[in-house]
Amino acid sequence: MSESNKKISLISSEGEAFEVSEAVAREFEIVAHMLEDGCSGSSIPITTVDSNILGKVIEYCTKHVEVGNVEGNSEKAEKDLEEFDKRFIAVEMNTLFSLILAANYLNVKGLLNIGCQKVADTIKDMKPEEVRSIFNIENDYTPAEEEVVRKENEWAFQP
Amino acid sequence: MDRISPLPDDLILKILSFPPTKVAITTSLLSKRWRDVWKHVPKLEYFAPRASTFIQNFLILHKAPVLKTMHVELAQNHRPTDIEIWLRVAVERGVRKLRFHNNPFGPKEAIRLPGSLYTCQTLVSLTLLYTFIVDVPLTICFPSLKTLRLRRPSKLFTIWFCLILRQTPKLRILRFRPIERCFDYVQIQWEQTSSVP
Repeated sequence: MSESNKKISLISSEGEAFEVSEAVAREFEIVAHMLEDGCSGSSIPITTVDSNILGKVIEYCTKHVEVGNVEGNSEKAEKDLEEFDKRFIAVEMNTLFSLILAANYLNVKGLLNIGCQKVADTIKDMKPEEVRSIFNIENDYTPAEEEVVRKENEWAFQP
Repeated sequence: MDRISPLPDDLILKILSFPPTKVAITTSLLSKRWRDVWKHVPKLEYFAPRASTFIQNFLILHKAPVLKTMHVELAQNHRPTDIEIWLRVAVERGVRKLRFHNNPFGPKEAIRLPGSLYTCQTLVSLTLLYTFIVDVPLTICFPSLKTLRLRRPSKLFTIWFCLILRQTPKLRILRFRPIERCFDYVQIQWEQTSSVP
C-alpha cells in the first residue's frame, strides 16, 4: 500500500473512530509529529475533542488537502478555498470557540487563523457593551473602576 | 457561558492581533481580565489623524517583548523626528513587518529613517509608501528581508536599490514587477534558495 493510501483512525473523546487518509491526518501537526516520532499505530486517540468538532476539523483538513493536490488553475482554487473557509467558519459562537480550541490543540494552523480572525471580525465594530453581551462576558468592574480604565485609555478612544 | 475570557493568553493575543490596535485597546473596558491584555499584543496598527499621541502612548505603555508588526498610515503631517523615533523603537523591539504609509497629500518633508533600520536583523517585510527618504547610509544589510515595497520613495531610490543588491549577500531570486495601473509602484520580492549558486 502506498503512503498516500494509508488510512489512520482518529478517535474522538467519545471513542468514535474517524478513518482518514494519512495526508489528512498529517494536517493535524500534532499527529504529523507523532507519525514522525515513529508512532506506527493506525489509530490515534484525540481525547480532548468530541466527535462533532473532530468531524468538522477533518472536513476542513480534507478540503484543504484535496485542493492542495489539484494542479492547474491555482488562482481559482485559492478563491474556492477562501469561499469554503468563509462558509466553514460561519458557525455559532459555541462551535467557533470549540473549533479554535481544537485547532490550537491539534495544531491546525489554517483553521486556528480563520477561527481567531472570525472572532476579531465579530468584535471589530462593536461597543464594549455589545461585545460583553454577545460573548456573555461578566463585567466585574464597579462603575468607578470602569471609569478609571476609560480615563486611562481615553487617548485611544478619541475619534 | 463566557467562552472567550477563559481562553489562554496566547489565543486571546492571536485574536487581538487581527484588528487595528484601537479595537484591542477597547477590550480593556470589558472586564478586569481584559484590562491589560492589549499591552501584550505584538502589533501596532493605526490609521487616523491623531497618530502622534496614539503611537507615542502605545509605545510607552506596550509591554510585549517583541513588536512583530508596525503598520502606520498617516493622514496629517507629523514631525519627521517623531517618525524617526517610532521607527527606532520598532527596530529595537524586533519588528518583522513594517508598513509605513506617509501622508501623500501633505508637504513633502523628508523623513530620516533611523540608521538602525538599515541593518535590522529581524525585518522580513518592509513597505514604505510616499516616504521621502534622506540620508541613505553606506551600509545596508537586511539578512531576513524577503519583501520590499516602495512607492514614490524619492530620487535616492535608485541608489538605495543598488546598495541593497550589493549588500544583501544572500540575495538569490529577484522578482521585479510593476503593479497594474500604478506604474510608480515597484514590488521586489526575493527569497533565499540554496540551489541557486
